[in-house]
Amino acid sequence: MKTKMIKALGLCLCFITIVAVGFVGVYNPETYETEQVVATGLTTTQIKTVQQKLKNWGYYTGNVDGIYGTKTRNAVIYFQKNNGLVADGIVGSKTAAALGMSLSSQSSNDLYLLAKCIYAEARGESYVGQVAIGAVILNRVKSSAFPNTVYGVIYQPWAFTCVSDGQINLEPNQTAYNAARDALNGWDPTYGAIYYYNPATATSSWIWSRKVVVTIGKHNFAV
Amino acid sequence: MNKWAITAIVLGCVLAVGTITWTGISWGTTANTLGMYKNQLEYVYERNLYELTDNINNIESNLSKLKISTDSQVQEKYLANIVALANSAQNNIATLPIEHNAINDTITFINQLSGFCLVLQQDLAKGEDISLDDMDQIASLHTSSQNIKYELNRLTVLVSTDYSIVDNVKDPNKGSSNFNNEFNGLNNDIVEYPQLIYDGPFSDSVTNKTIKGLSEKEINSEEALNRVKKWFSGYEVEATGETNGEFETFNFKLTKGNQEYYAQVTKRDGILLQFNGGYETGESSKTEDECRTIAETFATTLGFEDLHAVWSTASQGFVYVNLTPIVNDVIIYPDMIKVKVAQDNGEIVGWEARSWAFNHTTRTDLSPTIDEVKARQSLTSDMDVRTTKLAIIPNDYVGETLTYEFMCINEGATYYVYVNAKTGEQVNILKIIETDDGNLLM
Repeated sequence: MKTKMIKALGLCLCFITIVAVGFVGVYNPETYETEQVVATGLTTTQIKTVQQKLKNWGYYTGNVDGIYGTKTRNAVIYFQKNNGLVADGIVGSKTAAALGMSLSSQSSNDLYLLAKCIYAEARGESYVGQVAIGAVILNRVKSSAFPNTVYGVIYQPWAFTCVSDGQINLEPNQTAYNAARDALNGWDPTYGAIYYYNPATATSSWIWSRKVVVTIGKHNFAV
Repeated sequence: MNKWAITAIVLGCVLAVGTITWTGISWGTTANTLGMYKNQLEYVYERNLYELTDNINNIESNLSKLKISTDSQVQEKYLANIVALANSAQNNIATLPIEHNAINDTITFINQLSGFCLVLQQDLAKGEDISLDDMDQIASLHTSSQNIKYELNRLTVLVSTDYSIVDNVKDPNKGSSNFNNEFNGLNNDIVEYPQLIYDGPFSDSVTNKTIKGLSEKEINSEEALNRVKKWFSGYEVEATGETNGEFETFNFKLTKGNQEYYAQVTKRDGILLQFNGGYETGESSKTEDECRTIAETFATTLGFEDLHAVWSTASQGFVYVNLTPIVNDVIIYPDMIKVKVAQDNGEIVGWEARSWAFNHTTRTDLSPTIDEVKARQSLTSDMDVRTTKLAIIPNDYVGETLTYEFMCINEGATYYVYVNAKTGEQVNILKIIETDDGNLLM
């Protein structure tokens, strides 16, 4: 009888140990890949993508190592020749497009973040309603009463519900991208509004004191 | 007791102990992790508050020195310091968990302070002196900065005790937080922020622009509706009300198939101010050049004479065309209208005439004082000039300047260099940046 109890207790301890070990394993901190920019203007990750794609299509036989050596360069030239591109061995925007990849460029970070915020805040709204959200963000960047960058405005504490509740991390769709691009191109359906709120849910008494310029969909836009 | 009962009890105990232990471990780990995150966040907030206070302290001391300095070189140094410190302070404020309405007066003050000092710095660089009026402004800016400094130093003392910012913050929808209330002392009625008028970034004079492009003659809603129907035949048009923003407008919703568009017509003069919709473009069949022509023709139908495509870029199945008037061979950039054309069927899917409505006027002075050869002397010798044109360009904040526009190539990059056609000074340089989404002018 006693031996059985001991065996059972032993099993129990084993069980706990296994659970605990498993748990600690889960809580290992994530590791992040660091990106190194090399002379080609591409990051290591981008070079790896180029190599992988060229390898899949039979242009490249070397290792996918993120090093832009002669082998990679020749493969790029070979690919460019076959695709009617200027065979200079440099992965510019056209070659990248033919490879089906995107090179991050100066303003596309703003575009991406803007599209994310539009998508998270207004994906249920009409297209104009989405451009309007983008326009408000850009009007804030220009306004003296707000931070002076797209990042600063979007991540300003309490400024956007979607940042507080994490919805900003959803991947935007093409419509949100188009709306962001139109807003960056200067289309402003709100005519300079720097605030918007849903009159059905807004609780701040202060926001009601602002002058409403236009109502689009569910949102009031105000200055 | 039989064997089965004992086994069941033992198993039950094992499960109970296991579950309790597991919950305990995971709770402990989560609490630990959360505690760590909370501390990290507290430090980010505190660091920003300390830096903000430092920056304001330094701004205050630079302003006090500026107030009594008489040498332009020394003044320039203090102004440059203030601009840099203000920009840094701006970043600090944007990170602190304060509701916008509790802090917007302070953000405006810091932005305008930086804009004002930047303009004074540029004036000094041009050899001008700081005027007596500006000196008065500096004195009142100094007073405000002293008040802000006092409040912020009180706050840093508070935070350096066991006060936790994180513990005193809450969702603004659930009422004003304690941390928010700590900033009440920075309100306009206490600090008394001066109203700053200058021709520079964030100035109040720039935000209240006058409309030059439209006459006082107004049209009524019926006339506006008729115009929209004439401009966009084949669309269903529905009036959706009026807007009283920067411009007073009549608004319309247009429908064609399942595509929806949104148009605004100004009350004054009844021009198409804006037209935009979420067009889903298909396979491109029109070239960029064809789309430029389509944009020009559309402008003519709308009654805009003499508008020419001076710039375009193709991106994601659309061509974005910039139209400007060209008068006596001079490009009038301030009156630019932006048009978006779908490359699949050549339809107009976007129109924006805000700049035109603000700036369009008959310019009288379109002749340069210096000739092209003289203007070229301000370019560096390694610039390969491809085209030269005369152009009026908008100044950064107020007014416009007649310039020579030199399109040049240097080390493979394309630049537009603008040289003042009266003085020969370089006014602006734009560079073409090639991106995945077409070319950008920066």
